[in-house]
Amino acid sequence: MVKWQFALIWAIAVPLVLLAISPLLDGLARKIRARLHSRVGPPLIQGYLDLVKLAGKTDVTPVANTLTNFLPFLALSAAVTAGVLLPVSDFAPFSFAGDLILVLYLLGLSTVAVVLGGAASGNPYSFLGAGRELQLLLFTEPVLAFALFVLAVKAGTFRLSEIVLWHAQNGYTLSTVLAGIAALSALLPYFGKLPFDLAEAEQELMGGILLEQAGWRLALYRWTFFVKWFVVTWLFCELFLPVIAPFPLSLLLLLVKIFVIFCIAAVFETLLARLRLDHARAFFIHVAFFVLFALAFALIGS
Amino acid sequence: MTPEGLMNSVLLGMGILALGILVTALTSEQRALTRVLGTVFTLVAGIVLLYAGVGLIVWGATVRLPLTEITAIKTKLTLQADMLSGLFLSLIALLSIPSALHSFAYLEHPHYRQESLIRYYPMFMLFLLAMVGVVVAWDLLTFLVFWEVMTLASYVLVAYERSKPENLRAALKYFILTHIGALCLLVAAVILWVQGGSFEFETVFATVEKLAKTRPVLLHVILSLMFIGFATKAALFPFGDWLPDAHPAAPSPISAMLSGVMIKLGIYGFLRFFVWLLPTAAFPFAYDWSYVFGIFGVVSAILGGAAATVTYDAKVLLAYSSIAQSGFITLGIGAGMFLFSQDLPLANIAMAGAFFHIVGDALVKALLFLNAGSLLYATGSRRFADLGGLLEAMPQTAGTAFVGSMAIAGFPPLTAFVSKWLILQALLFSKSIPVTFSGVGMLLASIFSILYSVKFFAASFLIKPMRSGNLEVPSTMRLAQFILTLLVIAVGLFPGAVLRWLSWIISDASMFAGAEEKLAGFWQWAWVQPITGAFSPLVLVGMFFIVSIFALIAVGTERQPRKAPIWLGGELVKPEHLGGHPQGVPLREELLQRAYPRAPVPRWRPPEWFTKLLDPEAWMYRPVITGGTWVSDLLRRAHTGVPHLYIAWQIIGAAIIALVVWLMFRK
Repeated sequence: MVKWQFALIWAIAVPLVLLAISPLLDGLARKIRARLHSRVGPPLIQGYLDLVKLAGKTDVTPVANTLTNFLPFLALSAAVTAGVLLPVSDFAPFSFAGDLILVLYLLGLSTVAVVLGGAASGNPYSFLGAGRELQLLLFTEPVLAFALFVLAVKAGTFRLSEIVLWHAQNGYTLSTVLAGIAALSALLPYFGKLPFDLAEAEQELMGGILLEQAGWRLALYRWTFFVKWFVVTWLFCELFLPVIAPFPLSLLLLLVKIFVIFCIAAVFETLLARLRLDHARAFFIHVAFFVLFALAFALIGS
Repeated sequence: MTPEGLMNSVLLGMGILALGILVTALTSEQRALTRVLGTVFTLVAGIVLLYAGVGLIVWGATVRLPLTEITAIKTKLTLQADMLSGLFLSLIALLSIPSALHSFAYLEHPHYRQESLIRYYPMFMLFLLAMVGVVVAWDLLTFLVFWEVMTLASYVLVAYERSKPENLRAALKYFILTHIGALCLLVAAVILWVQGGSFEFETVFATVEKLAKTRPVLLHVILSLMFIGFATKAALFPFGDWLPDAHPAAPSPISAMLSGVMIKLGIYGFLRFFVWLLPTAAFPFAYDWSYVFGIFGVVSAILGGAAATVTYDAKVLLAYSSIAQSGFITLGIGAGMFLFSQDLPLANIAMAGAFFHIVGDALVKALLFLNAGSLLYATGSRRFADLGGLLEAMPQTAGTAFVGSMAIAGFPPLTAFVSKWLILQALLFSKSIPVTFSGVGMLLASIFSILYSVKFFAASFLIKPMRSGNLEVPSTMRLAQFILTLLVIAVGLFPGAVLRWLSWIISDASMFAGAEEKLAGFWQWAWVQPITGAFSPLVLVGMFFIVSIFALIAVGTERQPRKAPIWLGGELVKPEHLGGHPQGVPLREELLQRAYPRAPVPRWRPPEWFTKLLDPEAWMYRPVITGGTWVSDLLRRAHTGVPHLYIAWQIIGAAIIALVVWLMFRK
C-alpha cells in the first residue's frame, strides 16, 4: 500500500525536519530582540550552537534516576508527535476524527513532562516554577482549546485537515476572527516567553523548572521548547490563516506564515514586561469570556 | 462452557464468597490463617466471576434463574444477568483480585494490627457478594436487599479503623446520607408496586409504559426519586457529600473497591432504570431527564476537579477526583440520552465514551488508591506535607503511580484520553447550544484533572530532596499494583478491542439499537485498520520511539551524571526551603471551601444563598440528623415507664381514632 509507506516516510521525515529547523527560531528571536535593543546580537544559528554546547557538557544534577532520564525524551517526543499530526494545507496522513483533541493533549503532555522534570529535582525554586506553569496551563489551555472549538463547531468536525479545508473555502466569519484573536493571545504563554515566562523567571526563580537541569537533559528541554514554538505557531497558521495550495507550495507558504507570526511574537516579547501570575490569570479569564462569546456566535451561525 | 452455564458460574462465585464469609469469620482469631484464607477465597471467587462477566459480554448472553415466588406481593424473585450486568460483574471481579492481594500485607501495618480481622474479611466478601447481587438482581425487591447489604457492609468497612473519631464520624455520615438515597429508591419501588402490582422488572417495564401514557407527573416523581437514590451512590454533587469523608477513612484496598466499583453501581442504576428498563413510550422522559444528567454531571466534574486540586491529602484528592470522574460519566450518559432521537450514531459515541470511562476510571482509580495505601504503609501518613521525595525509596510504587496519574490526566496513549475525546465529540457536535456549552465545562474539568493528577504524583514522589533508604512495600502489594498498571496500559493501547465490546453492550439497549452500520467505520480502530486515518495508540508509541531515538543520537549515549547538592543561590539550606505545602490553585477558594469545607483563604464572597447551596452538609445532612434526634427524643420522652402515662396515651389515641372514624362516617 502506497499510503502506508507514505505514512511511514512522513512519520520519520517530519520529526527530522522539526528537530532540524526549530532551533533556528531561537536564533531568530534573539536576533530580533538584539536589533530592537540596537545590539548586533548572536548569529542566527545560536540555537544550534547552544544545543551542541549543552550536549557536550557534564550532567551536574542532585537527582539522577530512571524517571528524570525518561522525562526529557517524553517531553520532546510528545511535542514532535503533535507536529506529525498537524496538516500542511489540507494534507495530513495521520489525521483522524479526533486529532484536534490529541494535539492539545500532546502539547499538554509535553508541558507536564517538563514540569515533572523540574519537580523531580527537589529544588524549591523549581517547585515554585512548576506550580506556576501548571496554574498557567489551567488558564491558557482552555483559551486555545475554546478557540479551536469555535472552528470545530463551524466545520462540524475535530479533524484538523477538514477544518483547514472548510476555513479556506468558507472564509472568515465574525466568530472565527474573534477566535483567531484569542488564539493569538494564547500563543505567547505556550511559547513560555515574556510576558508569560513565569515558570522560568530568571530574575526571581533563577530559571525555575530548568534550574537544576544541565547537560544533555537541559539540551533536550530547550529543544522541546523550540519544537513547541514551531508546532504551536504551525497550528495557529494553518487553522486561522488557511491557504489551500498544492504540496511543495503549501509547505513554502507554511514556512513563510510561521516566520511572520513568530517574528510578531518575538517583537511582543521584547516590548512587554513579565506579568505576575494574578495579572496573567485576570488577562486569560477575560480572554476566555471573549472566546466563549465567539463560540456562542459560532453556534448561532455567524 | 456454554452461555447457559454462566448463571452457574455466578452462583458458584457467590457461593465461594458466602463460604469464605463463614470460614474467615470462624478463623478470625488466627490472623495469619485468616489473611491467607480470605485472600484465597476472594481470588478464586474473583476468577470465577470474571469468567462469568466476560462470558456474558462475549457471548451476548442473557441468563436467568428464578429463585422463589412470594405470593403475598405477587412477585417472583429472579436473578438475571445480561451484557450490562456482565460489564459490571467483570469490573467487580477484576478489581477484587488486586484489592485482596493488597489487603494481604496492608492489614499487618501497625495502624491496623490492633483491629480484629472479623470486621474485615467477612465484611469484604459480603460487600463483594452484595455488589454481585445488585448487578444480577432482576426484581426491585432483590435489588434493594442486595443494595442495602452492600451499603451496610461498606459502612462497617469504612468504620474499620474505629479508634479514630473522625473515621467514625465519616462512617456515620456515609450511613445516613446513603440511607436517605436508599429510602428514595424504596419509595420509588413502592410506588411502582402500587401502580403495577409486582416488583419484577418485567412488570416495572409495563408499568412505566402505562404511566408514561396516563400519569406522566407520577412517572417524573418516580424517576426523580430514583435519580436521587442513585446519584447519592454515584456521589454526584451535592448528593455525594459523604464521599470525601468516607473514602479516605476506609482502608486503602476498600477505598479502591468503593471508588472503583461501588460508586459505579450508582451509574449502573442510572443505566438500568433510565436507559435499559425504559419502554419506547417513555423515551421522551429520558430526553427530559438528560438535561438533569448533564447539569449534575458538569457541576460534579468541575467542582470535584477543582476541590481535588486544592486539597493537601492524597486520599482526599483521589476521593474528589472520583466525584469528578463520576460527573464525566453521568455527562456522557446524559449526552447519549439527549441525542438518541436526533442523531443515533452520535448518541452511541457519547455512550461509548461514558462506558469506556467507567472501565478506565475503575482501573485507574483503584490503582491510585492502592498507591495511596502503599504511601500510607511506607510513611504512615497520607498528607502531602509528610510525603514527597519518595521516588528513589519506592521506585516500583512510583512507576505504577506515574502510569496511573498520566492515565487519569487523560494523556494518550492511556485510558482516559479516548473516553474524554468521545464524550467531547458528542457534546460539541450535538447542534444544541446548552449541550455544546456543557462540552466547554467538560474541557475545563479535564484540565483540572491534569492539574490534580500531576499534583498527586509530584507531591507524593517528587518535590522534596529524594529520601534515601528502601521504603518499598511488600511483594503482594506491588503485585496488586502491577496487575492494575498492566490492565491500564493494555486498555489504553488497545481501545478498539474494548470499545467493540462496549458498543455491543450499548446496542443491547433498545434506546441505542440500530446504529451499528453507521458506526462501523468509526469503530474500525487501532490494530484492525491501516495506521492512518484512525487513532492508534501503538502508532503513537512508535512515533515516541522514533523521536526518542533521534534525540538519543543527537545528545549521545554517554551518561555519567555528577551528583551535586541542590542549588539555592548561595543561601544556606533551611528546612522551610525544602518542600512545604504543595501550592494549590488560587481559585475562588471561598466557593470550593463551601462546596467541600476544607480549603483556606477566603477572597471573594458570592451571594449568601449560593454559598449555602454549595454546602450540602449544612442544608442536607445536619437537618436530617437534628430531625432524627428530635423525633427519637420525643419518643424517648413518651416512654417514661410510668403505667399511668401509657394508659393516658392509649385513651388519647383511642379518642383520636374515634374522632377520625366519626368524621369519616358521619352523614
